[in-house]
Amino acid sequence: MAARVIKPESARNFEFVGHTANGSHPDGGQVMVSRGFAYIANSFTGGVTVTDARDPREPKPVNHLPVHPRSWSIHLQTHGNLMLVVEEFNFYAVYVKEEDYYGGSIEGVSSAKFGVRGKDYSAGMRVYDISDPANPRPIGFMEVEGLGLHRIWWDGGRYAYASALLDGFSDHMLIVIDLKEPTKPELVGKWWIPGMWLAGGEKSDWPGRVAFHHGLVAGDILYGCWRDGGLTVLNIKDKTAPKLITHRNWFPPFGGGTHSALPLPDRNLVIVADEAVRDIDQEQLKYTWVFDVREPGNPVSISTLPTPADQDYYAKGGHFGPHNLWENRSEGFQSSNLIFATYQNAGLRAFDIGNPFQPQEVGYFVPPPPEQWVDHRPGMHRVIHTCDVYVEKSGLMYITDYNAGLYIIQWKGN
Amino acid sequence: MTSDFPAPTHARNMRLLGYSDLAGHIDTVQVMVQRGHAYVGNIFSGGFSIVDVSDPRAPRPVGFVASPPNTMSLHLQASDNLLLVVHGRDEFSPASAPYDQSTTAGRNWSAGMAIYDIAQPAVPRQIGFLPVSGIGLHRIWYVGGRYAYASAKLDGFSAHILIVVDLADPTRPELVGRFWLPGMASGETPHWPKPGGYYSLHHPIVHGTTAYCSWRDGGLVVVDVADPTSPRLIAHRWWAPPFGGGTHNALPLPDRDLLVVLDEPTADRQEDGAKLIWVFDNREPTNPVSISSMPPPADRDYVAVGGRFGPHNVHENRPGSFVSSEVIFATYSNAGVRAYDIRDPFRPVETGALVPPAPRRFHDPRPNRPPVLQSNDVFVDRNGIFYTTGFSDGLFIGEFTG
Repeated sequence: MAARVIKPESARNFEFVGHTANGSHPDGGQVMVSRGFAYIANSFTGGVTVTDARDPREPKPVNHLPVHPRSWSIHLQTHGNLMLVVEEFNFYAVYVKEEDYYGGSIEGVSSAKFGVRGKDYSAGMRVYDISDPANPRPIGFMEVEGLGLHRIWWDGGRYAYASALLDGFSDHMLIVIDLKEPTKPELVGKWWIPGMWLAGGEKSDWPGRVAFHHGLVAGDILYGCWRDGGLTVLNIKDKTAPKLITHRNWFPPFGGGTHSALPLPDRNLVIVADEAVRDIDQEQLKYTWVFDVREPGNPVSISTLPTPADQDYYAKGGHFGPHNLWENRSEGFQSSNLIFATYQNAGLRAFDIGNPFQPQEVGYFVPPPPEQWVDHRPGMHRVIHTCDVYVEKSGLMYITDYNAGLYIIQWKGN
Repeated sequence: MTSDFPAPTHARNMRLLGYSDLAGHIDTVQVMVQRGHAYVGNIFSGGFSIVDVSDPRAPRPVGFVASPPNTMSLHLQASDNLLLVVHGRDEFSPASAPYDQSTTAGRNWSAGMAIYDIAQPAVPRQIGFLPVSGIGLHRIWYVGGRYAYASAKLDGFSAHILIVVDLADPTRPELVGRFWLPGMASGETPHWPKPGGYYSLHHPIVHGTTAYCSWRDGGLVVVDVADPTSPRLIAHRWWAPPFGGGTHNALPLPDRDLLVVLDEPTADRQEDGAKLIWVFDNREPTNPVSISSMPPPADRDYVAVGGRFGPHNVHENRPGSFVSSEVIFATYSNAGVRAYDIRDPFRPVETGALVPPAPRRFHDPRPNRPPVLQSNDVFVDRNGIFYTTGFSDGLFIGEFTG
């Protein structure tokens, strides 16, 4: 049987390779690929789907790792034989409107509010052995005293860096996890923006939602994104005591939602994406910024990636704007000139930042409208929402969508 | 003969109309045109010039007003019947006494601001003078009304600070307000990020009650001048290091909540880094955010041309002149005059260029200056005719056809 060919809504410098709806789990959050298997976090249906993509023209779901029914596992990381998966109370169970979740800090919650941790929901990080790629085996769990983890940065090595909502804090903060013994991961360091530790008497009057999303590491520096709290540059040489180097926030006047910071150390640049978290008629347009970080204590915004304009994405509706960046993982494609970014209703975009002052768009792949819909939140626009991207060394890439399954496409540009 | 000059080195959407050598005072810096007359500050000649430009194809020098000995009048402001001219120590005159902050003895220059009545445009008549201590004034912002704003190096300060001058009676101007960055007054300890940097106000541009101050290596300083006697900091942004400093103009575009901020090169061949003209988002007055920069001239290798290559001035949208928040004119030293379209402020594009020919005669007393074009200032009138100056470049008049 010939593999099904799906025609994109529009494409430039990308070619369709394969697609799978992943059975009853077409909802994809973060995606990792290892040895031809894609590990896809399911945002709405819960757990993690394992898809055999060794033949990328005919990817097939082969396994599903469940999570507690009242928790979610929306982010994961793989390297070598290990996979780390977050487990956190499923906020969409209580915050059904985007404004409720993204509009302000999740304060006033303690884990007890939602029941007994470990019984009524699970909160922490699970470690899987993926040496048998189709059959991940749980080998360790780090529970946290709170509602759980949101996202992790781990690209091999002893330490992982994650966002966690711990009791007593207004929202997610940075935690450092020691994986020396992967079966017994240990929380060894914490850092939060002063003002977040409510149980310690700290106070703040920030507008919007200040919460650590995640951070990437270059050398001893972690570039961390804090949604409406902007960007922090932290020295993490001492894992037990991260130190602030500097903090930048461009909200207001810009719309907040700072989500991903990708360091390009060979060029002293950092790419910072502000996530579109509401429909485009409900918030101002978000941007992906280029920062000059030659001077670590003085990051300077120098330009933005051009906003997709090959069709009227405002009229298309839903979320229009940046979400994730391909994060140059060491087992995948690495470049400090080409940036691959998901743009929600505008699909996947490729940008050339050879001249960092005038970035150019050099390609895009916009999947057709979703055939099924599992996002249970009310009032969502039924359009594609391209979410995450994993890029292999060959330029073969895997893109997820809130509803539209897994697309595998090939980069055809220079 | 005024229009006897060679063709421009490069032109796009711009053409040359006329040229004047200002009767020999070709060392030209700030230029301002009003009622058919160009007022031009000279940098080496010790005074300022007046050129009748009522026919832009045949500009005629009609006057030169000498400053007191060892005094520079490179910047000036014309508004209605008033012309304000800086007086500061001429750092290029070998006869200027050295500046010693600890004593006023032996100072042989004039420091302050001279006020002229220009009701008769070709015949300025001095009606007032504001004396100050120290080296004197560098540049002024005055577009009419009661107050002028200037940069001044006064005794007791490490470099130029912001001063507010009350012109309620222009014959008796009064210094009423001062503002400086902490660390600049004697007795204060500075904490500058760039070792050996030059933390000094170049000049302010005032809109409403806000002064947008370009502070050279100190970047952009936004100051509330609602109370002229006690200016107050609103926001401070600096990007040197990593960038090379030299912030020179900060132009507000209030109808679009944008700022255009220009960094000037202070060394040849980009030895102090590539300088840029930045666009800032200014919707939140306390949090200006740099969002883009103008693409640098790329029609030839201007670093190889020699001399300064980089931005020097922007046309500052003075009332009565060409006022636009979408088209920005700038000088680029050895790359002449440039026009930019910033309708998409995130992606400015160059839409015009005019590179006047290199000077035939060289009037720069500084040692080892390469004899190349070094465009300084540009003023655009409401008809899109522009007037541009340079260290040995006289006054070129051109037209934007884009």
